[in-house]
Amino acid sequence: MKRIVLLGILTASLSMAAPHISKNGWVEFFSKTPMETIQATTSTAVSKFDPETGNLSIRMRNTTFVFPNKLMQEHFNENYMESEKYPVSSFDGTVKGLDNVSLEAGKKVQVVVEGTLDIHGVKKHRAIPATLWKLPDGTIHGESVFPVKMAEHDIKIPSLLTKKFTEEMRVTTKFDWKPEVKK
Amino acid sequence: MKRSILFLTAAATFCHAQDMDSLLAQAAPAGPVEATFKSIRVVESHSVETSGKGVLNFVVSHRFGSFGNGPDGGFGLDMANTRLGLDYGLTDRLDLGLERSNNEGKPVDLWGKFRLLRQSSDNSMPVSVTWLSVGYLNTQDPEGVTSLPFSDKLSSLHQLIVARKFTEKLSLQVSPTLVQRSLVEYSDEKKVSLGTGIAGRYKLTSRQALSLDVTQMFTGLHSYDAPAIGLGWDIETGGHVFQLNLVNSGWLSEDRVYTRGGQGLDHFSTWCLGFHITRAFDFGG
Repeated sequence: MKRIVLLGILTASLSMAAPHISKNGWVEFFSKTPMETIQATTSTAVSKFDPETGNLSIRMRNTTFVFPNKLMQEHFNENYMESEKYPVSSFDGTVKGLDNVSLEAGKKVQVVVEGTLDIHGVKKHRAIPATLWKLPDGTIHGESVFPVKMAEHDIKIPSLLTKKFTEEMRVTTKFDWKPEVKK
Repeated sequence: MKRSILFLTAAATFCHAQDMDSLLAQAAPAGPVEATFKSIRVVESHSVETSGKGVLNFVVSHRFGSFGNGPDGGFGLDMANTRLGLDYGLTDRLDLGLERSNNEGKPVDLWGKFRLLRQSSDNSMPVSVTWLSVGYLNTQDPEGVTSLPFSDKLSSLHQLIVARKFTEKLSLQVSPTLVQRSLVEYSDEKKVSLGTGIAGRYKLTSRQALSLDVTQMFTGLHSYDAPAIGLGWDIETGGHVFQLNLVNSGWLSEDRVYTRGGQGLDHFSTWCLGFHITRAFDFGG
């Protein structure tokens, strides 16, 4: 019995071990055709990253993406992302290959982030290359650029408008994780 | 044994999910509800929507003749009342519009719409509220009348539009309405009439919706046979919104639509088809 309790506490404490937090993650998506350039960013993506275990979670509210104009933004939320039905895009996974390297200030480390990307209510398993490095103040900085195929996430584009979009959006993400300060 | 471990793992996962939710709520609070209606008009009445800051709308509206014109008159399609309108979002809350229509009196309308409240996604504000005021200036005197004083060419409309987007598909609005006219049709009519509008929208797909728009006046009119009724089918294509309308009167200006009467379904031959085409130009905002 005692062992179970111990194990339980261990499990619980492990899951709470030193996660780093980012509250102003920057995410951009980009598409360019001769007819239209689409570029939108949010700077309120949130993320938890545990450098010990490699566990990584990201959440962003779709309505926080800012477009160059209001109409695009409304169409994005109303017609493509259906933000009322699917308000949040997320990623849950692990950063692979952290065991063999140590994060030191100024040293860039190439890693692969593996997990589930959830956009428009459709979950896809992805392995996404990323770059991590530590800043002098202990902040961990991570960047990644990867494609997202709209069809893979069941985002429909009317045939009339296919000339305005590329099939793949280029997604760029930047996060600064700081050690969580316990209250 | 195994169960307790399972439970603990589940609890830890749950805590983590909750953590992420509260983190997101903190960094990016749920904003106001968008697109309660697709356009600044439901069918005949204004909707709770305003054009956002920097958006210029160009709206072409048509009311064809009534079905009663028969096959020789193309069931009404041979003739039409037309309104051309422009409106511009000065801020995200304030929208100003200028229109001219060729229905009786050939009025030029100047309107202002101000969003007082916005429904929020987290329901801390359950409704959106917009104030609408329209002034109509008749540019053509009634037949046989000469030198009508300027003040008699004017009429106005005021509405407090209260709306709620109940689900992503269903939106409803209620609009207490005041119409002020300088000239009335019958001797027992008053210059000020009160009434209310009820309108709704149901989305069929992400780009198509059906809408219904009914306005009933209660005071100041000669008769109250039928409310103003409009049915709409909205189709959105990028920068355009097409709204096909079936209405029970041929008027375009709201003051006339509400007070000059339409007929019920028992006089369907007086109903007519119409449309709005809205083209939005965005000047960045």
